[in-house]
Amino acid sequence: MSLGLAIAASAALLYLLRMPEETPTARGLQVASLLGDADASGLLLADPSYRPTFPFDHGPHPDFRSEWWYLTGNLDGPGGRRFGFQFTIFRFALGTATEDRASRWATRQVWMGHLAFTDVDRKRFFSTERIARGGEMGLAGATAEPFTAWIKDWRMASTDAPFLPIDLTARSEGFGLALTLMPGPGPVLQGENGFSRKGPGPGNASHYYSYPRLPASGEVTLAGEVLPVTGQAWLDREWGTSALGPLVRGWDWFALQLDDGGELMYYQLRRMDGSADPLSAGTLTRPHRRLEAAGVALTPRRYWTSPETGIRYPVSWDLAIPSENLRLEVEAVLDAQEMDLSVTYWEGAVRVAGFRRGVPVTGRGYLEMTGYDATPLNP
Amino acid sequence: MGGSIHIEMRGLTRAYASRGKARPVLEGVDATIRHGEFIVLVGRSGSGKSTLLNLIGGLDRPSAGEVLLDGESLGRLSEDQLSRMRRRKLGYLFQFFNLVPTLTAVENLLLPLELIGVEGGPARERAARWLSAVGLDDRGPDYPDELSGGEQQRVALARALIHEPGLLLADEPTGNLDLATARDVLRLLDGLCRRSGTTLIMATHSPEVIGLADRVLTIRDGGLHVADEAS
Amino acid sequence: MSRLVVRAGRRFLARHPWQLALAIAGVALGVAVVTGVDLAGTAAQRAFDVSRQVVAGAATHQIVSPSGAFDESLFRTLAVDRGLERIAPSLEGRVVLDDGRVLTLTGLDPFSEAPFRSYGASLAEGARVGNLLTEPGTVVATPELAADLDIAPGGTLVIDVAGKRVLLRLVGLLYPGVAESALLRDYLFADIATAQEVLGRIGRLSRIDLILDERTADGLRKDLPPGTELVATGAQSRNLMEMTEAFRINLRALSLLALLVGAFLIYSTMSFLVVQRRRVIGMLRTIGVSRRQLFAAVIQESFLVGVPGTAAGLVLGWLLGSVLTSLVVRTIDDLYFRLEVAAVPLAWGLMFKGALLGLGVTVAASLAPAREAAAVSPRSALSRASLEWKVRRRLPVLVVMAVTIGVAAVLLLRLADDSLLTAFAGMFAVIVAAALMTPPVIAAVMGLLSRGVGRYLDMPLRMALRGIEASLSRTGVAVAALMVSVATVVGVGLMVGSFRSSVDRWLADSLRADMYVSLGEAWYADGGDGDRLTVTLRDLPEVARVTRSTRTRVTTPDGEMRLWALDPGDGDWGLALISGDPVRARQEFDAGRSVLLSESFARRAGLSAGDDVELPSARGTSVFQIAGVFRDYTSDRGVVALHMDRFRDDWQVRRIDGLGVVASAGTDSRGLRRAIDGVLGGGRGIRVASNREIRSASLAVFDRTFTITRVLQLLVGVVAFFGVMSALQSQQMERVREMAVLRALGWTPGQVRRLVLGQTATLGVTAGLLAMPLGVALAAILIRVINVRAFAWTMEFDIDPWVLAQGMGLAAAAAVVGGVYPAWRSARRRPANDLRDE
Repeated sequence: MSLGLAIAASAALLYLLRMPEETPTARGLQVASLLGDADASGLLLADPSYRPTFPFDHGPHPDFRSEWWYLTGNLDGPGGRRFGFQFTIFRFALGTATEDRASRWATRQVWMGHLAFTDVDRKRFFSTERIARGGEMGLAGATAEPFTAWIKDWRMASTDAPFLPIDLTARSEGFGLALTLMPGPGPVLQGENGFSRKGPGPGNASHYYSYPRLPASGEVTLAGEVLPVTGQAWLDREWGTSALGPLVRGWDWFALQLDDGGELMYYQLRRMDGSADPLSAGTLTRPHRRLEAAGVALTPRRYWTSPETGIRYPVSWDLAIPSENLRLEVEAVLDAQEMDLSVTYWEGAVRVAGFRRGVPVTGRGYLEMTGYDATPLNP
Repeated sequence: MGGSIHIEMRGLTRAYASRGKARPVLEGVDATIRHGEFIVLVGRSGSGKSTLLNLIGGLDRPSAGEVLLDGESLGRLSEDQLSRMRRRKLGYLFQFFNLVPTLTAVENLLLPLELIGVEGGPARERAARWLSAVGLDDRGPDYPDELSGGEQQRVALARALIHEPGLLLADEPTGNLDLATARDVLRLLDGLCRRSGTTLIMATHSPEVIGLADRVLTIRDGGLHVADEAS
Repeated sequence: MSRLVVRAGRRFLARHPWQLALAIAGVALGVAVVTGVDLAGTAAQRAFDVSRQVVAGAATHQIVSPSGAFDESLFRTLAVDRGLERIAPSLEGRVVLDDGRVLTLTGLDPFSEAPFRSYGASLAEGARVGNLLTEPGTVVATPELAADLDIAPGGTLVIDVAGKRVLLRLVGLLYPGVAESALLRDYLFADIATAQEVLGRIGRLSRIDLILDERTADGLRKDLPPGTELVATGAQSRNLMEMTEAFRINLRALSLLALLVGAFLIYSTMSFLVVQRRRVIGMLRTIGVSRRQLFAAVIQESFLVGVPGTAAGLVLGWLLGSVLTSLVVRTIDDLYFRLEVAAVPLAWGLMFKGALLGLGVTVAASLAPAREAAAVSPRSALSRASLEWKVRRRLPVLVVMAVTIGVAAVLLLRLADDSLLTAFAGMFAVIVAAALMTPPVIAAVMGLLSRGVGRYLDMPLRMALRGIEASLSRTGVAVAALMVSVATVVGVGLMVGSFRSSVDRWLADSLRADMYVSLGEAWYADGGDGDRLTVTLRDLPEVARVTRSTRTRVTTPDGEMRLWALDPGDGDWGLALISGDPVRARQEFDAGRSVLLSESFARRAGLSAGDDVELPSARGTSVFQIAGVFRDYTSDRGVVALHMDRFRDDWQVRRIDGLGVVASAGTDSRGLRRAIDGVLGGGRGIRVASNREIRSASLAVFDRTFTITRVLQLLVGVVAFFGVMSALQSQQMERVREMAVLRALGWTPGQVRRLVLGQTATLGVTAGLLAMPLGVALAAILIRVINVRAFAWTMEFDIDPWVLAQGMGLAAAAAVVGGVYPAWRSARRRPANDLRDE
């Protein structure tokens, strides 16, 4: 007998933002544990013999555990103002499809969006997260042709060509981002033809390609003020299942755009004891050559401790590639660029200064650091 | 404290409005009572003895005229001031209902002392002395309903004098007592007042008292007359 | 401050322990009733808040549909196209277990829920929460429900829904707070996809929760598709509160009345205690105790009554609160909606308020006696005559005051506003005016009696009459107190009685069928079809006519509206019209063109026959003309009645809640029952009741509802009884000495007894007689003004002589019992003891 009150309560699934008793890092685990606990059987593993083809592989790979469309960039605004942004759409698979379901809400895909913005001059950083289910309701998803990736009203979509240029819009509570990404060099296949090994076991790998330098222009809305911006963006695409090996705690990932032409991508997989895993790898462009752990020396120079989470991050690094006669200092433009969302990690704009073959070289880029908290992640 | 009070009455008039008619009880009374005098008021019932006592004691306000105690006109005093005056300068003794029934004899004695600010040891001492003076040394802790009529009046007497007032007003204090007891009480009253020089005005029917008094005044037809003259 | 004076007063009180005890009891009961009602109210309030919390969570707005469900694509439009950030869908439906228990299956999107609600959850062993999404047919529930169903996470349960049997698997447990847990006991939660599939409602949603600011809400409201409404959750919870506000105000008023009676008794007792000591007070004034000291002393004495009385009252109040809470909750449960209250919270704020009230009332009630004590002039203390005379002189003042307040009361009551507050203020003013009039009236009546009838009475009784008049200063207040209490008891009794007979009459009018069949969830889940059943019943030879009825609630921006869809067939529709032409109204109603409004609805909405009313339906809005207003006591929020066919068209709801079956000529009720049972078989979820059974069940609910009123009535009666008895008793005890004088003069003990009893009995009877008109007046106010404003319905005013007789009995009993002890004592005492030391 209905008493006229639609009494609803919510199921106890992802109370990610509402577990006050738990520490943020533990809270962050919720997603990870949800995903980690979810049945991995039946999902596909990265295949070394597979070579990505386009535009097919711009789209989603629903049978792999995790996937992302990862966009970072440094922007210049009016009056010499400097900004950094990150826009990412993640996809997670909860399992393999067993049956056809009648409801359009039915799905095994969970989508997540991260949006972050750095205002260098004002020393402000802002990050926000969205989560939505996949399924036929169209709340979130991605398509290959035409290329789109969206979560609610955050959206990346090709304008008319198969891939680039791409229009990007995202909004959250007084902040807005609208960019157009123009064609740039790429796709750059990371690892071996896009097969990026990250651990010893079969499947401890992902398929990975990048567009390391996409000219970007558009508008940023900051607290009601609309600012025109231009700059350079970096798009990373990756998909895989349980990519990291068991000994790896996290990684430090560098995506640097150097002013003398060429880009550098390097990820250092960090072990429990803090040492670099030998499977750490990267790529230099122009010409394209692969980097290996042995050939790269990374030394943290300065640390910053987050007042919110208490985690200590190295926000300044020395990166040396002797074989290239390349020594770079990579410095965060702002120390406080920690993303304290369902997953906690540090991702921020950096400036680069150094020497290549004795000639001074500068650049800009993004640095991502994970796994500096007490417990390991395992996407 | 202590000492005695000089009383002057000038044109003292008191009329009651009863069922529409004005009944004058006292009319134009002029009299003087000197320090330390023992005055007896006699008159028939309803003649106004109590009324006069009440007027002198500031318990009632005259319809006309005034009462002066030691030169101070009572008419000028407010209720509060009258209360304070009564505490210091006046003592009362009625025919009955002199004592607070729910206080012991000694507590009844402490009451006027408390009102003038004498408390604690000195107060208890004084109370003990006065109890002794009226011959009730060990009856202190008793309640009034445990005392005989005469004993009650003796405590009442002590209560009326313990704060050394300059004037004692007694309204038929022995009316309720048998002859022997009445005599004892009167003797005490006279003695204590003379010793302290307290002016004493008593309204009474009792003939023994007349002998002890300095002056006897009669109230008749609304006026005050010297008894000697009348008789 | 004179310590000795205070000490003397304390001892005086201690020497009159019974008076002291009864005064304390008066305070205690007054405080207990007020505190108890307050506590019960707070407990109910908390329960409201919890259920509101559970209903709305943090949502500021909700999108609902009058027809129950709407298309899910609206969610996508709002979440993606419009970009609303905090938005969550839900779908609800009923499922039935094997044992007939009905549960609500609620489907949610866990990814949207975070801003709205959060309950702890535990993962089941061997199952993962992610399974709710990936595995169809999975649910979570509270541990209480799991225990009820005797399953653990991982276990399965079978449910029936829409004619199908479905297997569900429990994959986890929910841990909301304790209070929410109680409310969620009948709920299963699932992923929204699962809910759609299990309930067979692919493509539909029941509700969308939103957190919006007003501007966005206004913009959104305009753009919603027809058949959906945006309602503010504030409005919904306001509704919850409003629904029971009238009920709670009534309780509150009754409790304040109890306090008023208690205050009266304190005043009467304190005033006695002062009057008894006039001589001592006079003497104290002569020796120089100031007025202020006496005033302060009396106030201090009142604390001796107030402090223990308040303390006892708070403890009693807490106990009473527990009892009342369960009564209140049960009533709300019966009448309005499901409410769960765990335990009565010990609200310290309320206790503090109760303490202040108790002490405050004691001091306030003692102010007048304290002033009286201070005003004792030293001289006049020695004679009582002047006191009585002063009181007699004050009588005209009292009359003037009474008349003034009486006029104010009438004005207040005639004020054309809708406020319950002015109505209660007016009622209290009437009571005060009547109380003020009591001493003058007694004086007049006794005077008349003694002059008129006196010569025919024997000595004791004649003296009794004269004695009353002469001792008005003491008797006046006691009689006023007795009168007010008896009037209260009578007034409330008459009101409840009138209400009950009105409801009874209305039931007789409305229940036109011989048997009623109610069709429940389980029956529909088993595949029942209301229309088919109707036809089958109609075809029975024992049946002359079948009526159909469905009741539903529709959410509008202004709150909830109750709709009653009715198909009376060709016969009497059982609606008692109080306005509108019955013939025309029936025609319009049957044609589906018009609706009828219940009296409460019409009053609240300010509508009447001939007006138009807009109702939100599946078609958007449907406009109807109002053909008439009918009397209805099913809900004080009001009901809109329309013909079932029109309802089905406009609201797209095919469900039938109940059928009324009228027997054909020559069929008796047993035969009809048998015929009906034969058609129904042994299905579950279906109930058959006769006209008479329903009537008595309804009246049982009514009686249960008014249990609280009767409890309070009883308490008022008890307080009054003891208080007045004590006052009269102490007054008589006080006069024991006078009785001794009479005995000395030669009166027999019997004569003395007759004097005392005669006096108290006369007082009692007088109070009782005076209480009758006041009681009737109070009942009239309660019925004509307060009930109308609170519940917006009218009822017949029945003056039940039995209630009046009870009131008289109470008054006489209090007075006589109050006189028995003193009469006996006075007669027994030896005169010598009392004459001594006069």
